[in-house]
Amino acid sequence: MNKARLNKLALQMQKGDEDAFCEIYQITKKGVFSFVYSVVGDYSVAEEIMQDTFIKVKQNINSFNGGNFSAWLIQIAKNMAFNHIKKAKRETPLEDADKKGGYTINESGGVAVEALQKVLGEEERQIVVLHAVGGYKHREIAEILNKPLGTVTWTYKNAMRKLKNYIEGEN
Amino acid sequence: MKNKKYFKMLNDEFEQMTPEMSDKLKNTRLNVSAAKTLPEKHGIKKSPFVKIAAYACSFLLVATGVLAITGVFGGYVKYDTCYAVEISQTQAKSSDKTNITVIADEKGKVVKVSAEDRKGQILVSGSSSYSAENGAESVLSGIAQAALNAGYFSDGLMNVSVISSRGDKATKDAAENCQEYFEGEVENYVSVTQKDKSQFCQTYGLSADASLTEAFDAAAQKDGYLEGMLKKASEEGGDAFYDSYTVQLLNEYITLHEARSVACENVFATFEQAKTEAGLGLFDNLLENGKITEGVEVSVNTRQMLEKQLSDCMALGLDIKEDDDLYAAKAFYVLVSPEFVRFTAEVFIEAGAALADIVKGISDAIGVVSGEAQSYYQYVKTEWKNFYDDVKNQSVSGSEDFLQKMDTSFKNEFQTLCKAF
Repeated sequence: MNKARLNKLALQMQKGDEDAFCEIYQITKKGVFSFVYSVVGDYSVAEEIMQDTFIKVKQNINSFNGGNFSAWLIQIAKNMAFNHIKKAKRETPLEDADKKGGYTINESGGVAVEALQKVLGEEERQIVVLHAVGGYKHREIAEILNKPLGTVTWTYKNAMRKLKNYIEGEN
Repeated sequence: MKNKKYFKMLNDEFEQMTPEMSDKLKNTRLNVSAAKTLPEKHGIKKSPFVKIAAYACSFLLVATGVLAITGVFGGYVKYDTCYAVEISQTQAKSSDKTNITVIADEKGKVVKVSAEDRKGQILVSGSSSYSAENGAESVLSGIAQAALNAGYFSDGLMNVSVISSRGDKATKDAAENCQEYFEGEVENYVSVTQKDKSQFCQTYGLSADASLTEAFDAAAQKDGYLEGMLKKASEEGGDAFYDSYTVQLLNEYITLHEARSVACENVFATFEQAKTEAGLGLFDNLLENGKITEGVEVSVNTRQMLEKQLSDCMALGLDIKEDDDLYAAKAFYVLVSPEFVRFTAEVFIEAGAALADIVKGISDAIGVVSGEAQSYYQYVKTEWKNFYDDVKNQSVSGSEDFLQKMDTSFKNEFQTLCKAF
């Protein structure tokens, strides 16, 4: 992910350039979707939140004051996904909720996504996805998730070990 | 399964899963009514000093700012900013360098790009981004991309430095924007101000003309450098340490030992096969002066493979002349390899000061003779305790179990090592 490029596109968006938004969408959609999916664990919910995230970006691009656009974008996605979880927890009795975030694990995706959902806890999933798919560095992830860097690196390492064991076991 | 392979699978699967833009999103209009204009330059705030680098930097790209003022590019003093891009070949051919000069005006627009030699000219002519309309950072990125395309760099094997003589905004922004680019492409980046560099050279008694990389390399050999870096890291917190050149050195160091470990394992397997083929017993020697002992008969394939593997070991600094050398090396790497695996992870970087000492301990232990081994073990053990305490103090969830296992493993292995000596 070329962050300098994203920032330049954001500047163009602020001038009303729809094409710039389309490019931003193409560059970042996978990172945003995978992150939201790692939080909510359900395809259709993740899809809806992802679309809403980008709608919010369109509506609020004027409030982006420079800095790291990709971090700003993922922050919006994070807030929307977490709000959704909170709302879902209020509305869904706990006994009906799946242990990994209140949703039925969706089997979309292949072996890698399945491993992610089956083996990792919510926080581990988020960190792995942000790093492996979103291309964020551990320091950025620490900032996004508001966690100490040591916790992020530790969690990441642990998660990768779990994934490795699981996939090798499956094979 | 390697992380990279899993990451690729994960990315491919998410690529397929990720939905396209919904109609609702398409129909939402951009709200630009109260849009603020972003500053022209908006680099990401990054640690200003050193970015962790991958091991074995084969190629170096150094972008030096404002050299015009120093007279290096005399005749362009009316311009505010000047960058020199220095591309170095591998360490073995460090004298083989090419230089490209990028001169920008006070607004950061590029007014001239030139190259000193043929290689540089190829790189300069190879990209359309060298237009005068582009900012310096874009041009520098273009040069780096051209160099990458031309095979000057391998993925993850490049250092980038940007030096600004005055820390002026234009240069700083260019550096930060380049940093984004370089991080994305090669994951290595070094940024210092000219003042920092001068001070650095002065502190370690180095020539002011030294390139940044040369200065680092030379400084790393001097007493007090690592300690100074660690002290600085400790004062500035974990993030600074993460960014420090010390971590780069550690990674290089550990990686070298990992490579030696693998090479040793390979040669040992062939060595055993050769002994079996030759019908040699446990106490019969196969190797003599780095070769199969004269008169010992093994198959051509095994002989060739063994010679190649011994040569691979030699290239990594592991000189195996006799059977005993191989047994010793094998024993050592069997004992410490599990620790290398753990050390290479990005875990507990905040406890790096102690880690550095442990790694140094392992290094020194290689040369230890039996009489000194025990006292050395005490030293390493003390350092290990520091590391243990540092990690424990972080109260990271799950760290207790990890530490307990690692601690036991570490102690056992070093005790065995001492006995082996």
